[in-house]
Amino acid sequence: MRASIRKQLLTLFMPFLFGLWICSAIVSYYLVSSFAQESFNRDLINSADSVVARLKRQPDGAISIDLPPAAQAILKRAESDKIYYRVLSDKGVRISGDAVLPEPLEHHELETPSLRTSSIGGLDIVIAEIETDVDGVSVIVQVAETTNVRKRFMDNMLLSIAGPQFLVIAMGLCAVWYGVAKILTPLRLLQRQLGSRTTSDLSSLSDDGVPEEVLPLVNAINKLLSRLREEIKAHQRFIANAAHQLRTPLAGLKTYSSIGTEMSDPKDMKHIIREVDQGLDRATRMVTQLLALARADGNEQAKSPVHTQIDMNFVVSDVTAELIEQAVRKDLELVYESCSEPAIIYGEPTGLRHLVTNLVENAIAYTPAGGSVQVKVRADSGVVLSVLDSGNGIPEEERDKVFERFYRVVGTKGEGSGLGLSIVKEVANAHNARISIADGLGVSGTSITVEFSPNGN
Amino acid sequence: MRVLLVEDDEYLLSALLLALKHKGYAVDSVQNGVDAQAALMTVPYDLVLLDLGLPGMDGTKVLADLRSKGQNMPVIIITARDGVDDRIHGLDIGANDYLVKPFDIRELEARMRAALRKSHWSNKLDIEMGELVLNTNSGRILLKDKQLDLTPKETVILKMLMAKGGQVVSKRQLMEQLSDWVEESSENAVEILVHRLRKKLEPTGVLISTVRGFGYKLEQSA
Repeated sequence: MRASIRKQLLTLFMPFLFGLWICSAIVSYYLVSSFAQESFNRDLINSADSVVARLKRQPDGAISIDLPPAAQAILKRAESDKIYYRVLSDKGVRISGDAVLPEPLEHHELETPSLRTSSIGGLDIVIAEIETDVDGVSVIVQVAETTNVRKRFMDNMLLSIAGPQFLVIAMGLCAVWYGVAKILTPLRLLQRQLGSRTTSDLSSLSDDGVPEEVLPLVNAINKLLSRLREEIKAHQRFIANAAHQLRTPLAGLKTYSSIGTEMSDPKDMKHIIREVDQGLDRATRMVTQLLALARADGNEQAKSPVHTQIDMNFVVSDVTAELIEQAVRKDLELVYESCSEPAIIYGEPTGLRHLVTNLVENAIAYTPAGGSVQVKVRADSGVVLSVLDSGNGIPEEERDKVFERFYRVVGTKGEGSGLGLSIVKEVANAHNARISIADGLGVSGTSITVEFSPNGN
Repeated sequence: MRVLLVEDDEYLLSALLLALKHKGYAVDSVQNGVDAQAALMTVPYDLVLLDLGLPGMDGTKVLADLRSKGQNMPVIIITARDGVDDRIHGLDIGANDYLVKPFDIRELEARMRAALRKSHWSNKLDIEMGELVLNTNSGRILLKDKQLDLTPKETVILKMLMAKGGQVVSKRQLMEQLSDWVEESSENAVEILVHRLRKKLEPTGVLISTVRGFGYKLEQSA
């Protein structure tokens, strides 16, 4: 499942808000209910006081209570609660009131009301008791009420506290839900901008109205787009160049083949077939090199090669063994000086092979007959490969340019594609190796040195 | 016809040289712009085949320089640059035609013929002189619908004389037509060719008269 910012926010906030809700409900409930109980209790004590005020001592010493019916009615009033009262002598003998009330407490402080809870026939009650002195006679007054109203009040209280708080929380969560949608609007706009594009539209995204937090994302995308733009431009240039480079040998081939049909002398025809054969070799080599370059271009892996341990001694001896025949055919001396120690680098075998092959082939191609080509591998701090020849050399001012694709030194004859050294450079770059050109063997020769950095890559 | 071929790719160059020489053109070739300029200064070519992507100096520069010096021989660009803008630019700076590589050699030849027809024969398909007819398309010279039996070199001489109508053509000009850098021709060779031609033309009523110290011209016998 894909993570959703909205869901994450909700799951983060929900437990927290509900915890807050429950705590605050409990705390407010207890605070409010203690105030409420207090006022209920005061009412009860007032009722007890008013009963006390109606007590009288008769001349015979008996205690009488003069509760007018109206007062009794008030005492008995209550919508849903039952009120009880009882007057007792200090000996516990009932003088007046309801008999069902529980026994009074043993000890009272005079005129100090006390409160306690009890029950009558399964109903919870609260009793207020006052011991008072009526003209020298101690009398206990009990007033009790059931707790229906209190309970209902508490229930209402709870509802009226928890209800609105719940609403507040629900609204908070709604705010998160819609707030996320609102906050993500710039992202949706970006999405729309990108979604409606064709693949050829790689212009930068507009950062108008993009909030500070999203700006780095937009900048990163724009950076990527501009890199892509450059890459695609380079590819287009490459393709244009490649087409250009393939057209010329094709034109040559086409000319030979069509003039060949007009020849009648077998000797002429043989000559033309030989030329066509050479031209095809050249076109094939060019296609191979173009593919090698395209692969190096398009494949990120080639740029950060899958590194394996490679002994350059083996690569070079392989390649020189393959090319020795070419050198002999041109009457060139091809010398390979290996390194006595293993010349280990971490690299990508195919690419490195291309690199060595292109360097040595180049040296062979541009060295006149009778000359020599030397390939050396050294391993000092890092592995160094050098290819030296006694060829025509590369003029100082052109040494930087020869690594450009399709660049060919002015006056160069032969069959080069102008790609060999750019393949070398591509592979060297991928291996963090440094290439340099210097004077080589003989009067005007060239030496090309590839230095692999000592710490692998 | 003397042609300068400017092409840096050695393979295509030798292919074109072979093909054009086979077709009877006298072709010189150079592989870069500087050499092309030098060649154009020394020889009055009838036609230039010019590649654009040349090392050192681009073909467009060679062409622009050529035109700015007032040299107006036909120039056909042969290049791998196939963009419309490239073609327009090439034609605008003075090329007569623009051919994109790879091309069919027959098409190149047809375009060369067309360019030469325009510059030498004002676009006429047939040049007539008496009963002789030079077909500028096939390059053949006919007498009453029958092809004259001429060697390639004799054909070149007669074509040149017919192209100039009744005007005088110098021996030097005829030499240029016959030679390239590899095969130099001599006045003597021209004289021998003219001598042979005269014989072959005897029955046609067309004759080659000598303008002493200068050259030859074609006339109808009275």
